[in-house]
Amino acid sequence: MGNPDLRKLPGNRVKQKATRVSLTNTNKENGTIGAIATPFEHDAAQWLAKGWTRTLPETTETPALGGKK
Amino acid sequence: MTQNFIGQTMFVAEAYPSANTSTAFESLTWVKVNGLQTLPQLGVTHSMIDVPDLQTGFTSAVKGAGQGVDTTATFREVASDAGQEDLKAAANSQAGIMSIKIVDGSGTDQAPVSGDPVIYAQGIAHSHQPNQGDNASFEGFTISFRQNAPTIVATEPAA
Repeated sequence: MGNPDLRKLPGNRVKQKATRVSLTNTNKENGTIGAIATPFEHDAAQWLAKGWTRTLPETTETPALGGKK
Repeated sequence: MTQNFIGQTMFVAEAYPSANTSTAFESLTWVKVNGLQTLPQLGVTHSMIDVPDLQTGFTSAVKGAGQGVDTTATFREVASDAGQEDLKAAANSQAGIMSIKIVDGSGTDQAPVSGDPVIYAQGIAHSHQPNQGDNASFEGFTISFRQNAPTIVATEPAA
């Protein structure tokens, strides 16, 4: 039995696993500059407020030099 | 049943968490410090405020402010160990900011496994002192740690 509204989510949605984001420390009051933290996305705001910034993805492609051929 | 501390391991992170919570601590990047011999003794001490009374001639006390303990951990030297290098770097830096994690791990080589007991603390690493050498001593060092917030007791989260 139970509440029928809780047995099936609308549209057959599946509960998503919380995702983590990569943040980099930019404030020496938090510790070493460049330190990495990986909080949950829903906790990221409190880290960003203390001087952490989102870690930029590493560039894997080198821009072509010399323009079009 | 009372247990001993054998098998416990220590990790360090070179930053403070955004809050003094297990979730925030677990978001840091942890590096295991090998060669651990003596764990730091974590906790707080409170000052007491004396309140004398002339009529009774008895001085009672009320609880004053708390502060983190200043404790020492000891290690044997492990060459090129990333955790030891992080620990020494923090202790020798100007700010000494560091977080520590102590785990009673149940995995292979005492690796932390989901549900294992974990203790977190944040504070200042300082006073790195290599052991004094003689013909009965070994290479190693001590690091002092002044705790800056209450200890957090938790369990290792699921991966």
